[in-house]
Amino acid sequence: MMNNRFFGMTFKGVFRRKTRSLLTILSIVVGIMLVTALLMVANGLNTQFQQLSGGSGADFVVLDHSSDLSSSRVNASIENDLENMDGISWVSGMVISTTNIGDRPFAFVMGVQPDEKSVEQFGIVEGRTLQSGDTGKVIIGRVMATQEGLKIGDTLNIKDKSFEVVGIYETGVTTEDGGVVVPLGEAQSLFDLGDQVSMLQVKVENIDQVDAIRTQIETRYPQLLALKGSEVANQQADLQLINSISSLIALIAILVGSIVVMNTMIMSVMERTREIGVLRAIGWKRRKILLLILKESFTISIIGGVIGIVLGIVMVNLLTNLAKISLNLPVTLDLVVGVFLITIILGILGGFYPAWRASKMSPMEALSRE
Amino acid sequence: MFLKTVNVKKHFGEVKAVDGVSLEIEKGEFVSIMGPSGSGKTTLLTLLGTLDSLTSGDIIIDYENLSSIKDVDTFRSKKMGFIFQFHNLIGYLTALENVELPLHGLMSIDKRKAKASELLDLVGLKDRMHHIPSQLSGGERQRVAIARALVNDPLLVLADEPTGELDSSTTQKIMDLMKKINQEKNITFLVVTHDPEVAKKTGKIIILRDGKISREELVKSASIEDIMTLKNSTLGQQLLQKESGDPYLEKLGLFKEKKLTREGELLLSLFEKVEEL
Repeated sequence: MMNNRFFGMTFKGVFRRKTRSLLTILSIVVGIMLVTALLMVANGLNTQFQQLSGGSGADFVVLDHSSDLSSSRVNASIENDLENMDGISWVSGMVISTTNIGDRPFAFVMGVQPDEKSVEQFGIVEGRTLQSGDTGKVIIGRVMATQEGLKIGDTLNIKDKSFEVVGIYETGVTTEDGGVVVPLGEAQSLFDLGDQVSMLQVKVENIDQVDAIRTQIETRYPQLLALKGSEVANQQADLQLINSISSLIALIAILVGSIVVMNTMIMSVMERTREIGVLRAIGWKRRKILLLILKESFTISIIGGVIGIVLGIVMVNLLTNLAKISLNLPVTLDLVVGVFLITIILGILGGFYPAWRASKMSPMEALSRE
Repeated sequence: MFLKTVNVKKHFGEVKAVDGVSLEIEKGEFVSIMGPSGSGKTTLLTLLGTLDSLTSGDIIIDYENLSSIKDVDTFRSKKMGFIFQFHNLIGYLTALENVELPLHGLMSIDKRKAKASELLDLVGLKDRMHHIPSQLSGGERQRVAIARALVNDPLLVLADEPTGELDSSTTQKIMDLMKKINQEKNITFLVVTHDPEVAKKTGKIIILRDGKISREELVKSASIEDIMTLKNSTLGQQLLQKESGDPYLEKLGLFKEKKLTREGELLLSLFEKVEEL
């Protein structure tokens, strides 16, 4: 009840200078919008990569040290060696690369052996899967089919080579569903890989031995890494870059936002020297003055933060739709709470110094002559 | 004694703003402090209002020595009200919200509202309480400030040039209002002013010069002024001449056969006593 009224005063205090407060809020909106958008992209990509290498039931994947899925190269001979190792159930080579397809600027092209396990992760919902001996055939993801209007029997051009669509699959991972799968040999020739693959998916016989076998592989082939799904995402150089850039931008947004809030609040406090003096003279304690100003800076940053989060989500959805990028970028509770925390930190950082200055003001200011 | 200062000094480096002031004020007195600018009157007010600390000396208010009070903010918020020269209302809050301010954190919002509107009623602004200061006249703003100073039921109200920004007829009204509250509620008022007309409305004038009390005088009350007026009237002149042929004065029994009667002499002696005051 009392707090309600106190916040009523806070609101009036914030909007006594409408233009300035609205501009301050606007700058926070822009910052928080960017942070939200970047974190959504980074989170989405991380999740996608974790799922990308886990769909076939493999326990881990083997990559080279470049550890970027699209630039990793593993010799086909190693696949045979690993298959003969004790404790390994199966090994399946896979090519993963990206290219433009139709007017989509960015789509995954995956190559698998039709008779190996890795093809099974692409669950067919229409038509058939790839079979041994298929040439010039492709199966495409549900998202690709819908967005490009492709049906079974249609022709699809990948890097100027024609493929016939024989099946449509759905994995639930939007990057995969926005891509295509061709026989391994065709993928290798499309991307000039010779007999190399991007990675090997490995299934062990006894799950307790996973770590022992991974160590064994990495010891035998020092140029390779054996990674679990979550580790693959961490190892992606592009992802690392996106993660660090988004953290950096989040930090900059907090910093700039705090400075803007601080500037506004300092100006506000300076203009209200007499008002604060009067409040002190009529018995308000320093702590109460501190709270008054902090509440104002909180109000500014929270209004800006909430609008920023909403606009950030809207912006990401608009952009991914416009650019036809098949990325599932979910709005998670973690993300919203995280960005909201950033907003609160911003409010505290920006408000504390002005509030402290205000609380140090003397009640004598109420008496000073003009 | 309700308020007492003993050899109070406040020095700012070389400047002796207040330099040994001792005074005593009874509960319910209406006192003005006058003096040329720089005489230390506002500084004295800030010391009495616990807004600033003393260099030396003692101030006792409501039987408590200020130097022994740890939480002066609370002491001030419970026992004192302030009225400032520039009304000092908060511009973005309504009259009612301004009057409520001293009660923040002391009582529920409903009680606060009730108390504040009661005070606004007392100063005659009940129908203006949802206006913000810029929608009120100078006199109305100062009335709001008076209501704010009284909302915490203070024992002592300190006013710093409360009429400094007002025209003379508004000044009269504000002073009459303060005097009425002073008498009805037995609240002690201390008013710093440079306006002799304002000081005349108070019961006692303390005149400061160079940080010291140079003079203290009681203000002649209105009834004394009335007797003075009577003395200067035609009636008074005839009494002073001890001779009158006015048949009406004879009918009133002040004169008989053109000579003063005993009643006439009594009235004349009253004039002489007033002259001595």
